[in-house]
Amino acid sequence: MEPLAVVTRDSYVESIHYGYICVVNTSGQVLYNLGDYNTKIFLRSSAKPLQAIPLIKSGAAQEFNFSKKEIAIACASHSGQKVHRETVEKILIKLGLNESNLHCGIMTPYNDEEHKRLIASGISPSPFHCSCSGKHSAMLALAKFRGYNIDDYESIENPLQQEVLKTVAEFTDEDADSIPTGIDGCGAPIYLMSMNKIALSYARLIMHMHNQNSPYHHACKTIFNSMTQFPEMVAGENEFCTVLMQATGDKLIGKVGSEAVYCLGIKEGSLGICIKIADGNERAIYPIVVHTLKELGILSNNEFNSLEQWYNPVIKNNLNEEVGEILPAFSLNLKSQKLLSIGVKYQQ
Amino acid sequence: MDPLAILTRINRVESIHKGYICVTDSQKKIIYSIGDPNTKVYFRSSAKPIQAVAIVNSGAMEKFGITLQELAIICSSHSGEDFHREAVDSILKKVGLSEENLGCGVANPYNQDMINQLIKKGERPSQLYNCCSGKHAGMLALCRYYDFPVAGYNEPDHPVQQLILKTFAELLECETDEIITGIDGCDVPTIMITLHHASYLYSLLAHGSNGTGKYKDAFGIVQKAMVSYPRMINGDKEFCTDLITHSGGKVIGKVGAEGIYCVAVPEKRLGICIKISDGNERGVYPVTMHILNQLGILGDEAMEKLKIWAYPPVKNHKGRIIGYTVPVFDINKSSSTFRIGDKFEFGSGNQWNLWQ
Repeated sequence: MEPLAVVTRDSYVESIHYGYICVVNTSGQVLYNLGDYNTKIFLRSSAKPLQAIPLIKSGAAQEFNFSKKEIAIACASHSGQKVHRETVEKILIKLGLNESNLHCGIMTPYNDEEHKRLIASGISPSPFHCSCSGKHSAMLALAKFRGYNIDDYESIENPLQQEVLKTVAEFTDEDADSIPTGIDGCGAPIYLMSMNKIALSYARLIMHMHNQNSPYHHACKTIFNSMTQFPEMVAGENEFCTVLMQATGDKLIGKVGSEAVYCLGIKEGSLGICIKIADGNERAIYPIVVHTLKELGILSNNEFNSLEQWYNPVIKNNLNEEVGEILPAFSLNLKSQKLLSIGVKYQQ
Repeated sequence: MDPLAILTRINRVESIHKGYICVTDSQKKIIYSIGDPNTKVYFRSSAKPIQAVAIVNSGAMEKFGITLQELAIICSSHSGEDFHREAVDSILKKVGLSEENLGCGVANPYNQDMINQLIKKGERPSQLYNCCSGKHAGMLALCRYYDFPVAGYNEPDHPVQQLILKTFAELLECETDEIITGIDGCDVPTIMITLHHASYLYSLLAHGSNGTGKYKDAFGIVQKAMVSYPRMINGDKEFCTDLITHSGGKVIGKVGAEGIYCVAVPEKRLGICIKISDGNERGVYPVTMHILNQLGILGDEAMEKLKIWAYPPVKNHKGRIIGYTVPVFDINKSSSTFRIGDKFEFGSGNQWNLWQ
């Protein structure tokens, strides 16, 4: 692993975030790499755009008349705003199901206003507030469409999850039987895969979107368009994925995962990117993603400027005065990293 | 930098926390270390018991009738509970000041019930809720004792901050201008200090009034305050409070922001400083518990009561345990290599096996 970001205080390095970055093209060729790209990570919620592919390819999305907005929430880790909860509920109504069929569990929404509203009114959060409820409702749609058992739809044994796993395996060039699976925060399976293979899956999602003859063309194009046209569904107001896709039009899709995973698919050049912060702290993800895109020349000046608060997040004291920053500290082109150490003055 | 703790998910390594540990005795001798002990870290809130030494040493406690319980809140990063705020308010009253004189700024309390209460009432927290308000009240007491101006007491060149800096310099036997300072979250200066020196200062806290030098009695009083009133140091269900309480005062621990933790062990006259390099506090608890366990400081009973901090479980949204934060260093062996994605076996000889 390599040092990717520093946290400064009065221009001295107070903390360091190490991690991995891998950029590949559609043939799996590693174009840029920091850290060992064979490192295997749990894909977590960054898997959601891939997990949504069978929903569309199977015909389930068409059968249940999924809108792009609904596809976008299937790919989301949403913040629990009203629009998110209503969209998930609408999917369930179309399936003839309800909240009790969701097995994602209950979590506090990460939208601050909604969180405060719940506390102030003494209401407990519902499964709709869970950031994964969109994915779960999409899985239920596929299960209903195929006639699979919906009582254990999140179990790896359920044919639904096997179908999803097969798609993930195909996109990552792995053998489905050899992918170790774990359980995500929402109870659904997650996959342990190497950085370069994960990056490849995002490159392929873009490739199939471009290739009209591909059997995955429609599914991948729908996912890309849904995420870029309804970015507010993918995370929420003032959340990174949403702001990134709002700022970049239809250039890319970006999706965060727990424990500081981030994946991107870039339209031009059909690139796939996978980033993992080794310590799992999401605060380092934002500057590292923006810096990676900047180094790859993907962002225009305007786009970059509109992402500035994510590029160098400011650390303030309780008097709201700036005392430090989180700064990206790597270059994709440099084989040898700057020598970084806690307690030394940081030279940019 | 060595791995100190890992986060597991279904017996795989998902994330890794690297960092440093230094254990020092009151002769300044390093007993044990991981990583370069000369690495400099911002002392952050772990400096509070030492900053309190300057206050106690002045005689301000006697002059204003500040109690041991109130001294404990001066050493604290409290969670904003009622009794915390009352203690801070009481110090301010004793020195003829009030909440408006605090310069710590407004911050949400980290006690969840307190936050919920504020949200329900639609109120903004006062400065008393700020976890550093006790320290600030102590600094104000010191200002009043010496008749320093109250205004601007946060500034590095204010005489009260210079006095505290001088105390650090004397304890570390260096000049004040050799110490690098930064600004803490509550706006007052925080010093940059090597792990070796930070652990040494905590060994002085461990040694207390049995030590030597002009500050020994002040260290003894601070030690007594922290051991006697652990609820003041952090709050209910918080790590420092639990650690001091359940160890029966054998261990005095104080957290600092960005993954700092310092410990004084009175019976062994040892001081410990830990820094999680990525600054994430979740790594601090199991690493602290593990070093104390490996040094044979905590008995079985204390370990049992503190196990929630020793091997914190990772749960999914349904409350099912799917992983743990597990300490992975061994003071008797060179560090093992841990890679993200590797299998992690809970061997039968390991403490954490009891969770399986």
